[in-house]
Amino acid sequence: MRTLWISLKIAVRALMLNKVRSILTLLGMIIGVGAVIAIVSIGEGLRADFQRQMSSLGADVLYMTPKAPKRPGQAARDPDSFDMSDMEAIREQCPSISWVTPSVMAGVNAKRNNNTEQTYVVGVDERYLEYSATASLDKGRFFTMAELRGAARVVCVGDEMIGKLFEDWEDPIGEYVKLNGISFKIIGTFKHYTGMINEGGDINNGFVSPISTVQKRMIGNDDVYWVTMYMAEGSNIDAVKEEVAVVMRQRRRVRNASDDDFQFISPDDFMKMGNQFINVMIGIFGAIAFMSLLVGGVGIMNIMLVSVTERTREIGLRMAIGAGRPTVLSQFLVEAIVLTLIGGIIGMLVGFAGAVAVAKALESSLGGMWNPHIPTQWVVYSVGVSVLVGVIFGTYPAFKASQLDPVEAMRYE
Amino acid sequence: MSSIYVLIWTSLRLAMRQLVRNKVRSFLTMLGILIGIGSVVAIVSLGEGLKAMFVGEIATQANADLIWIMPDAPMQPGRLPRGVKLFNNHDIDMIGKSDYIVDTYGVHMMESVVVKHGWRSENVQLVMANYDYFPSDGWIVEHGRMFLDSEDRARAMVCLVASDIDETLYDKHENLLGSYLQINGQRFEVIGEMKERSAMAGGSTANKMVFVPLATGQDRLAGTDDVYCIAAKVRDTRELQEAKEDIATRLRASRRIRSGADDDFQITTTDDWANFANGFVNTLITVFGIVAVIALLVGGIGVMNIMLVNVRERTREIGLRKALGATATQITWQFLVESMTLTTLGGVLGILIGYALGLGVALIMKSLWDVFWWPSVPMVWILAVVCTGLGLGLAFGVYPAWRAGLLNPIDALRYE
Repeated sequence: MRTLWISLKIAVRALMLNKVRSILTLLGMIIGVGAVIAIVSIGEGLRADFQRQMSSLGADVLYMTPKAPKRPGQAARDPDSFDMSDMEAIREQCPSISWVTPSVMAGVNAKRNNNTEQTYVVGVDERYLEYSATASLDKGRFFTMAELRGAARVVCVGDEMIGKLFEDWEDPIGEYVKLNGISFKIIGTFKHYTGMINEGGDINNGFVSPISTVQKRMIGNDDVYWVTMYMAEGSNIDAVKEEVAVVMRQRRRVRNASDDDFQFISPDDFMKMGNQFINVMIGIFGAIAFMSLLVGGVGIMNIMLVSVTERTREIGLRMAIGAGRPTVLSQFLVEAIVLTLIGGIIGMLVGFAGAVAVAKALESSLGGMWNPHIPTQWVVYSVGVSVLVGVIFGTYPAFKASQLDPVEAMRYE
Repeated sequence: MSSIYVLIWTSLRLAMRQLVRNKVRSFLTMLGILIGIGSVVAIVSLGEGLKAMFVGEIATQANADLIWIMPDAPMQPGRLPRGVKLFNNHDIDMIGKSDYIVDTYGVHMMESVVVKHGWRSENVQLVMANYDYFPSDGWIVEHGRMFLDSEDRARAMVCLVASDIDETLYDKHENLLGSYLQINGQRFEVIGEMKERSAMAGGSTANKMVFVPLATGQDRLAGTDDVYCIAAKVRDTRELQEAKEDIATRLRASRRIRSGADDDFQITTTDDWANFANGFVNTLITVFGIVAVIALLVGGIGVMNIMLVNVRERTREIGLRKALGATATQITWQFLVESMTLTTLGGVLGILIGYALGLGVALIMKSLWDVFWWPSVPMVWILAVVCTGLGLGLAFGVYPAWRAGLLNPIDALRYE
């Protein structure tokens, strides 16, 4: 313990003696650790934000979409959509589903005066605003049950699409817009949405209309592209999935569960997919950033070797008055570790600051802001990794120092 | 003039001697640069390889001399675009009159026709087109033959069918070729069957379609001369841009679009696809490259650090050289050349390591996801790396070298 303390004192003194050199060596380490930490905290911040948004969907929601069944040796085909009678069947035969609501989507050509935009219209039912995580009404109103029944030509529209079709001073409410050549009345506008949830399309750039209207006037049949279901309180998600699956298998004439041509997605699944994606991203970017840490480590080794050479006579002297090989070894090893540890800690701060700067810079271009975030275990990791870098790259120079012959060393010039 | 060459040559010799004398130190310093350059080159080589693969894929997918003209409306497979005016034979003629265009053909479809064979019938999608449209859009005739141009002109009652038609409308032992199908009540002879297509390439209904010649379809089934897509073959692929502009002007005239109003059609070429893919890959290279460049920065700092050590260690040598008549410029050059030699060597080795790294990553991806492309390092990048090496040496070597040049010979000789 005492040896360690002495080594530490000698190390700090040696580092102070050669300020420029120590600062440059530190800088390499700071940048290396900083790069890795910046990547991690951007990624972790993104993950935290994503999870917060996903949890706003609610734990009781379950989505169902068609799925192309995998049959070995056959080309993949687009699966059949659902239709309105499927909704009826789920409503009647699945007691653990408290509420089921269908959605469709169609690409449309939106036209007003001389402005033409390619976009899409989502068809939903009258309770859309209650369950949508992205849409909230800004001005006007949403469509009514009567309009849904009558397949009325009314739409609500996102703010960016309004900006593209209308002049600034115009009030879009009550105006008409042509979707695929059919005239629709705009009855409401949506607030701007900034977030990662995507319910079929970018709500800021799209239209929302009664599902009956989209089916009848855009698609020409009663197809349903995805289904949003709410589970009754206290039901187990796997049991609910199986309950709906049994009904759907019967309706879609699927014999085995492995041939299912539909699939369920819950917010949990989204969360898993998002986590996986972020892990891959942190992995790739982190690996590249790790290269700078490696280079920093190599720099430390180089400088430690120089240090050992320069202080050959000092080492000889210390050995002559009784310092053992382990003492010399620990002296230089501690010096390397002190360097990497200080570099690592400063690097952590610099990296986090860098992440905040990147998030700020991206805020304007992405339209969304997330807070970079360092999980506590990463603080421990980076301290550990810093020490490890010191050990890996400091051992060889320290070992070299400890193997010096005191007689030769003292004579060295 | 020659004195500067002598200066550089002398400095280079001194630098080499110095680097060889201190092998471990030179190697470690170079290693920093090598890893930095290596990571950048690995990323670039993977990106460039990906671009090359995209370009190659696009070139084999569709013909580079084709220009596609479609209404400016969202497309859904199996459906006609809505809310916009379709094209007609007059538009095709107008485009055909362009000097840049050697050939045109039109494509149209009916979303649903009733096809009957014996007692079975089915609603399917019908595509009508000139015969040379089919290969250009990836349709391959597996059995039988494609219809002839003369059959198109003569509005012959012939059709081809997609691969699923015989499963739903025919018995197992029945002969498809030479049989007759009723399409919307009219009798067509089946002369060929298409190869099966994946939903990815052809849309969900790709394998449930029938095909007839354009003129036949327009006259006998659709009853209009509407066309929803026009393909134009250019005389010379170097004139794609001019051809696009000419087509736009002609179409605006033929469709009577007022000046000031937007085009209600879009013109795409395979060039557009390639540009899109290139833009995407370039973004990837930039984003990953920025992170990789950080390692280069750290390597550069290492070079500066070691050069400062070198200057200090050789203070007496510098004093001696100055005492013997070396000028500050000569001393500065000596150290500058030394650091530039280090970084350039590191850079050149970095190209090799980086390519190997890229290849390694490509092989890993092959084993993981079964996608493979050869990484490639274009000549430009080799030049860029050499320049970067020289630049790094200059940027991080100039301060130590400048300090060396400033040393006072008397103090330097006395230094211990």
